Amino acid sequence: MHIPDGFLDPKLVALSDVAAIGLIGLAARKVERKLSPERIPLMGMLGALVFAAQLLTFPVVGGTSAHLVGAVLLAVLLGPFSGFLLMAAVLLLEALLFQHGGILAFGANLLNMGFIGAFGGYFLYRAGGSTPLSAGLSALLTVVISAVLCALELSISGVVSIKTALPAMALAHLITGAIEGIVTFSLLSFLVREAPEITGGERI
Amino acid sequence: MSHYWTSDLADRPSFFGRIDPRLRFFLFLSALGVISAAGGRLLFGATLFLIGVMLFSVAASAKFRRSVLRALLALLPFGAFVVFLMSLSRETGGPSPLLRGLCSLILIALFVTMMGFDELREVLRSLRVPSIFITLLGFVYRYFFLFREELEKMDMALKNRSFSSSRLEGWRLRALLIGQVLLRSYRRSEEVYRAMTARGYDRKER
Repeated sequence: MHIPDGFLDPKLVALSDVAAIGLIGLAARKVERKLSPERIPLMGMLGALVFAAQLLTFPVVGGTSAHLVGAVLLAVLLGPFSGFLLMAAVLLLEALLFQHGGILAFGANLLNMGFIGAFGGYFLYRAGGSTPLSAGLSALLTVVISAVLCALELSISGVVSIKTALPAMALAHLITGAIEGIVTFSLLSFLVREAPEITGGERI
Repeated sequence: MSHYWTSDLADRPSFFGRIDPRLRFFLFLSALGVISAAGGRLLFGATLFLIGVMLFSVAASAKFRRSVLRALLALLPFGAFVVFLMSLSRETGGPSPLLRGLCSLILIALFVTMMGFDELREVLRSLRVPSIFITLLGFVYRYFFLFREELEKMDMALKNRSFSSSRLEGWRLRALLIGQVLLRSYRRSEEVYRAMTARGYDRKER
């Protein structure tokens, strides 16, 4: 789902980059003003952990595997603005270190995964009663929504046709989303039981 | 602990090393912009550039060769999926996006060899990128390698000890494994904050 450079229409790239930069600025201002300084190392470490956990593969079928995205997890633990900012840092490093996704397409990738995951996921989590189950379900939904958005962007850019891309992307990411949901649910249930101080901390 | 940030050319006294990091950054973005929108003759030029880098990588250091290979392989999952989608539909963009994608990924790999991580943070600072974002970028980069190593060790231990667990149980166990490292990172973050304040940290990235 990480879109490399060269696949999207330049106008769409420019538009998504401007939106992503604006959102990063907004989230940074909010976090800088409101977050207590002792939470900053925790934010950084959770970002690093999610980044490292993305390399851990979850076997699916026939040799295929999926990995964690972690945007909903970060948003639930730290709040949507902090989660979004961390996803921006993770996606930028991922593009530079592993070439997963482009640099100019960073805006589109951040909106697909970071914005939908952190803000959309957090909204769904709260609407569902703020339980590990609602977090798991919102993780599943956000992965599918992100994939649908990715398919829309590719078809707007004329790379693939919308009729085939949309159902194919949504179906393929239902499995990835299910894994994301199960992992998010299991992880948060474990944290609520073992370390409620982490799940009940400050959220921005 | 292996680092992915190669910065081979940035560390050595070279032509690239003498160029101001900000100029290097803008040159990189401009080249990326040209390649990612290229078509016709420009795309042919970009392909020649791709072949040139691949030939150069054969003679260059093993580290550089690995980063070029990684960049080429990085397109595989997304590229394969797009090719699959293209095969299903009649109206598609043709092979140009794949070629542009490959060239741009190679360019990013080249950029990483020409620019150190600290130099990049310096450039971002001069572009007035919010200080908190640069701080977080530093944290994520610094602790990623540590957590990756911890997760890999624990994952290996888990694989060696869980003999006949179902797929679903395997996913749950892996989630708990991440949870264990998360608990450790929570405790570690308190110590890190104490160490930071002892060194005069005041929320500003220096």
